[in-house]
Order: sequence, then C-alpha cells, then structure tokens
Amino acid sequence: MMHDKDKHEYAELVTALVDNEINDSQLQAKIRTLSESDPDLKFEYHVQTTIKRTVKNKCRFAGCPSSLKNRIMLDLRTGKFPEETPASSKPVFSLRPWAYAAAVAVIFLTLFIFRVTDGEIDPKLEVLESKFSLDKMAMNNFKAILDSKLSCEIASSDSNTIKSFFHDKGLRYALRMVCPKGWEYVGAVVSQDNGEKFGHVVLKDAKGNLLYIFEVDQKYLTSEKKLNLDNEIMSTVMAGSCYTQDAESMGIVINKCGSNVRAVVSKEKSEKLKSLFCGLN
Amino acid sequence: MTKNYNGDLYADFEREAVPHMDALFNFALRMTGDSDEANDLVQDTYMRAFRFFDKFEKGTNCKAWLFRIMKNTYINSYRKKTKEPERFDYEDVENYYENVKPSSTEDAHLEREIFDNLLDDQVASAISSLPEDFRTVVILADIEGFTYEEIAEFIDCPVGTVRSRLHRARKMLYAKLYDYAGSKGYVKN
Repeated sequence: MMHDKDKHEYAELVTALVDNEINDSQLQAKIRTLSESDPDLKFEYHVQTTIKRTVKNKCRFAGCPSSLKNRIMLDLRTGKFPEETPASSKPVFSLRPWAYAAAVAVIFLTLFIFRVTDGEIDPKLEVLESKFSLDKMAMNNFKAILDSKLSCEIASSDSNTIKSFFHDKGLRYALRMVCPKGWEYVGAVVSQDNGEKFGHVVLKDAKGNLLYIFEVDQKYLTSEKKLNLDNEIMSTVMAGSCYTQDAESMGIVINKCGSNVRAVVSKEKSEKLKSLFCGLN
Repeated sequence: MTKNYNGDLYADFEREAVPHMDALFNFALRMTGDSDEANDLVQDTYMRAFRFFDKFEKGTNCKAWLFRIMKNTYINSYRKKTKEPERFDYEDVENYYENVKPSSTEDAHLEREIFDNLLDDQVASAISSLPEDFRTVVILADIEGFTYEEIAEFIDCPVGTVRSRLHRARKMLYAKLYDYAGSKGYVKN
C-alpha cells in the first residue's frame, strides 16, 4: 500500500513523466506502470496531459511585433535609452507610449505631416489637404523623431537593405542614398499621401546625433504639385544652389540631387549641413 | 540618457540577445496580459540588458540572462500595475479535484474533447488567474516549451520546485477550466 507521502511524490513524478523529464529509465518505467494501474495516479496523468495539451493548443506563440523590434533596434543603434524611471511614475502622456507613437505614425503615414503640440494634433491640419511645404514637413518630422513620436519602419545600417525596403514598399522614385563620411544609416520609413509614397531616411554620427533626410522626385514639386516649396527656395534649388536655414535649434539644407530634391535636417547648424551635403549628388 | 555608441558591443548584443525577442515578448504578454504593457516590458528589458551587456559572460545562456532581467524588471516596475489574480486555495483545488474524477476511460476521452472546445480566451484567462509563480512555470513549460532545467535557471530555483509548481499549476488550471466547461453546460457541475 502506498503512503500519502509516496503518493504525493509519485503524483509529481507523473508530471515529470508527462514532460519527458525523468532521465532514470527504471524510475520512468515504474511511474509509467503506476500511472496505468493506480486509479489516483491514472487521474493525475489524465489531468497533466489534458492541461498540457490544452494550453499548448489554445495559447499560440505570439511573436514580437516588427514595429517593436524596429523600435528597440533603432534605440539601441542611436544609443537612446529611457530614464530608469519606474513605469508607475511616468507622466500620464507616456503611460501608453506605443499607442501614442502608433497613433502619430498612422497620422504621419496617411496625412503625411503632423504638428504635435503637447500630444494633440493641430486641428488646422485637416484643411491643409495634401499640399504641404517640404521644408516645414522635414523639420516637423525631425522633431517627431527626436521626441520618439516617429520611429523607423526598418532599422538598418546597410544602404542596400534600405534601398530594397523602399523598392518593396513600392516607391516610384529612387533615393540617392548619400551618406557623408562619419555618418551611418539608422533606418528608414515610407509615408503615403494620396496614393503617392515617399521615402525618409535617418542617419547618425559616432556621438549618436541624428540627421533626417526627406528626398522626393522634383516632379512632385513642379509638374505634379503634390508638395509645396516656397518660390524663393524653389528658385535657389532649381538653380543648383543650396538653400539653408536655421530655426528652432535646427538646421535645414535643401538642394537638388539628380532628379530629386533633398531636405536634410539636424541639430547641426545649416552651414555644417551645407558642407556635408551640398557637394553630394 | 545617451550612451556612447560602441559598434562591437552592439554587434555582439545583436547576435546574442536580439534573436530571443520573440520568446521574451510572448512571456511578457502572458505575464502582463496587456500588449502595451508587454511592449514596454520588452523595451525596458532590452535597454537594461544592453546597459549591462558588458557584465554578461560570453558563452553562458543569454536567453536565461534576458529572462532574469525581464523577471526583475517585471517585479520592480510592472507587477504592481497588473491586476492581482484571484486567490487560489490549493486545499479547495484538491477537494474539488476528488469530485470531478472521470469514472471511465470513455469519460476521460469525452472530457478531453470538452477541453478542446474551450475558447482560447477562456484558457488565457484561466492562466492569467493563476498566482504568479505558478503562471510563470506554465507559460515557460507549456507555451514556450522550455525544459525544467532551463526554467529553473530562468526563475532561479531548484528543478524540483519547477516540477512541483507545474504539477500544482496544471491541477489549478484543470479545476478552473472544468468550472468554465460547467458554466457552458459542457459538463455537469
């Protein structure tokens, strides 16, 4: 006759048998025999196998969303780390940073531009329709990247990977993909406006400073008029010169590169950006 | 906080730690029961892991190391926000258990079919209701497919404790799911 203590131990060994975790073949055979002959242990075996099977079948493995993977890779590559703040003491607007970022990204992808003020989208956006100013969009997008409100869809330091990404996403024009010495690619994102897709690239230097490039086919600014550019800036760019501006602690340079027009924004002074990009075609 | 970028460190981290992101997310999702919380937990875990990656001993089990960081991150920052599971009295489970034993092999087959008809959400909800230590071993063993030894390393306890917790956890789940089945009229309560 089995003592309660033995029975309890054997019951746990039935669990190990179900999980194929008994290495001793003699013990394994003994527990198997008991689980077939002893009514209580037989029931233990039934319960353990039924639940193991049910959990395995009903709880599918949920892989990490690609947006989260890219986000983490981007943060690692750029050296951006959140403060060591307990989640419970984060400010209200960051309790759901992913929901927030996702909402902004959707707006970015559909309306193509965002103006974010304390977490609210500027309602005036709705009347702007699809004609946006290239330089203002570039600066807004860069600010959103710095504020972690916009993240790359793909994180990669390889230009060919980014080119393939743009191709796979259905971009109708090719970006020049220039990367000045001392900088490297961080990632890219594709936005969409009225069925037209646009490519955006993020770079970083050895110190982790970020730089944003918004490059479009010049026909979107001229013949198709999908985007706006101030007449003075347009004249400067079409004449083959670089337009530079410093505003809100950011520098921007706009120039022509092949058949594209490229806006580059960073925290650097525009003159520095000019020296980096205006000779690169 | 900004950390100076170190190409080699990043490359090592990418090779060692990034492939385990799916397993960690899955665990985070089951532990928190909320995709936003799971996102935050995985991100915090990876940021902390990268910050302390120079302390990771190459050649040792990186997955176990990441799981330990996630477990500590969860305990320190997330557990308080997650709804406490209902209390389980294990004595009640044992008594309950005595009354629901299927009387024949045929009954046991029928019961398996009944459990197969339970909804995914009902099973997920039953797992969420388990006390944390028991929930952890069920997730790691039955969903993630880890061995007892791996689980013991992840949760820093002896292999015998893993076996014991898993044994009890499955019995608790059986009682819970039997109740669900009863509430749906699949079995007599």
